[in-house]
Amino acid sequence: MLPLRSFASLRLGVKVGAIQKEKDRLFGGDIWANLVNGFSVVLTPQHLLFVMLGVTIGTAIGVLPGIGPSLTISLLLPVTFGLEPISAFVMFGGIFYGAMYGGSTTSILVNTPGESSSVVTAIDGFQMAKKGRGGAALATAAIGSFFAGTFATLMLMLMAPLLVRFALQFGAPEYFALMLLALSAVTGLAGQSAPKAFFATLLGLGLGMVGIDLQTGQARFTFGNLNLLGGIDPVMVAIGLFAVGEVFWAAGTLKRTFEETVTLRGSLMMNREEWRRSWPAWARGSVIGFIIGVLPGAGATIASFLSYNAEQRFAKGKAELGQGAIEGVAGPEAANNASAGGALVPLLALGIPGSATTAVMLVAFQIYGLRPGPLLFQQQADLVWGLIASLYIANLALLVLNLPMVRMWIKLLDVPKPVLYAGILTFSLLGVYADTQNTFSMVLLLALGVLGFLLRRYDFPLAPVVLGAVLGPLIEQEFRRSLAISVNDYSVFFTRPLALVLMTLVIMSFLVPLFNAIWKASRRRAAVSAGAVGEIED
Amino acid sequence: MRAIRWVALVIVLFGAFYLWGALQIRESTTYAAVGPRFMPNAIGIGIVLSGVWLFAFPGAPPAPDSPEAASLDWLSIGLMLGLVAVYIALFRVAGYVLATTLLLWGGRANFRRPPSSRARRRDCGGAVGDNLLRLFAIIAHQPAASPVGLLRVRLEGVVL
Repeated sequence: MLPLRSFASLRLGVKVGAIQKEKDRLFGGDIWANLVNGFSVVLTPQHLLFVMLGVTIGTAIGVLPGIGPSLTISLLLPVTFGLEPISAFVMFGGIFYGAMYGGSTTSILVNTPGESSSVVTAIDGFQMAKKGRGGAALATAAIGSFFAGTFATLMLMLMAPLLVRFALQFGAPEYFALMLLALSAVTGLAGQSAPKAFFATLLGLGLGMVGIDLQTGQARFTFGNLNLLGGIDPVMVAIGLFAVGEVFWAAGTLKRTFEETVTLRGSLMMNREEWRRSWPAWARGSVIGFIIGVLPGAGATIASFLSYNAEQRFAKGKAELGQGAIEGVAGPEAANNASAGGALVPLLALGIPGSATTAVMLVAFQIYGLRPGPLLFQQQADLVWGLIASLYIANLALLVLNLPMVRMWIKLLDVPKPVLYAGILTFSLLGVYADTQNTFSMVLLLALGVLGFLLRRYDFPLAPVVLGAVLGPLIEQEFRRSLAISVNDYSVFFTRPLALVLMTLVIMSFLVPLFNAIWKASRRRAAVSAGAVGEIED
Repeated sequence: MRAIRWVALVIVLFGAFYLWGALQIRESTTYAAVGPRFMPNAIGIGIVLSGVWLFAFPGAPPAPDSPEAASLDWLSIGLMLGLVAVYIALFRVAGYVLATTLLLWGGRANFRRPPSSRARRRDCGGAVGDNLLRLFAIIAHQPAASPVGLLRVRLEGVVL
């Protein structure tokens, strides 16, 4: 007979085991069971319809130049208010993945990238189309995107729960440092110019400060205008910068653009040689894309360029790159799709967006009263795993939808641009009006549109503005919470090991581009003066 | 001086304005170390510094295919801007249906300048059709109402 004490400890052991099992279940210990659960959530006619709707809209906006997934999700947010969260998010996931697929079509056949992430695809894709291998280029882009998208979703599924366990150790100082790291990475990686990216980030943060301070009730930057007390909605910032700004830009440039379209000839199949050359590029692109996607601020465009760079080094047909090498399409297309999956890892596991699209998705979560991060996996397991399962379905749907129907997608380019842009403009204005019931929001949107146009004109990156507007209030909240916990001791950010590591990375990410700019400028000056000396000597 | 340096100066001025705005935030002495003014002050200083940084290191001259070097149709941009301003002004007075049809029509016509009479008619018909789509896409999904306007039509949820 067991002594009473042993019996108690046995019962306690069983209880601890059960808790651990429950913890494992919630935080991804049993990933495959969670995935099955996710499929059971999403495999309903209603949710499948939203997945299909998302991938169709996503592909369409990917095909159409100038319209991106962040803008589309922003515009659709007011329409989705009445939906269940899972329906809205599976649609957004489909849009995000679909836009990456669709962008390649115009790059290859029209030499006009639908998305910035497909710019590099146009280099070899358009050359292939001119040589009559447009079908093979589209095939390698679509199959590579499927391969990379599936790989990235698998990695998201495996990595996010691990990150969630790690994130459970985070307190306010760690969250503050992590958000600061996301913003500093955006500053370091977005665009060509560090000061421009730095300003764009600060502008976003500044917009996020407008309105009532939640801790003290003080109005900030409202200048006596009651309409500003509620702050500036980050979705409005995204719509203003991306949609209205794009319309103004199109109004100024549309009549001056010329598009050369190559007719799609031959079959949409790759030959054996093209298959053999494509798969290593898909593999390289998938890995690069996923890693870059996880990093805040890097995004699909950088992923595709890095993948092209890798192809220049490792591809079998590297000598042909630039003249129509299939690796130049396969690698970057795989990379930009994998980066979309990668970008969802920090969003879902930590609640930190790394790109404009994930920033808008974070706002969408907030609108539904949800906060992405470790607790989302616990409290909304059906939603998270349903979303992950929907991404697998979206990938498959995109493969089926894209390749055989490519001629139909190309027809989208025949939609008259005046109709398209006038439609975007009214949809944007009515979207913000419907949300606020106030024409002041339209005035604000117009101002943000003009700002977006000017930023674009002078080549400032737009994504950091949206990220700043989303993260600004959160960063401030965590900063003040940290100081409240530590009784105003600033060393709290440097005495906790995790916070220290993150803050060191933040400082490095600020200093590296600064020193880089100084170094480049000094080299330029040295080169100029050397040239001048040379001229004198000559 | 290069245009980007003028932009840098505007950024410095904007940063100074932002800092002035931050100083207008009322802050009690009873607050903790970090009050409502702390973050806006930091952002304002950052904006000024980013302007100075951009002025000092404006980067290489813009490439011919960069947006900075693009030649723009300023009249078209101005017309579009004016059209949106008129739309906002008319929205409450003329109502959703009239104002939106005007914006859709005007927006299309601006992209097609100078429009043919056929294009004008087609744009007008398209604008009315588009309007109906928008009605069902946005207003119908909102527990909200559009202004009554000249046509005395109120769009409230799905009820006209």
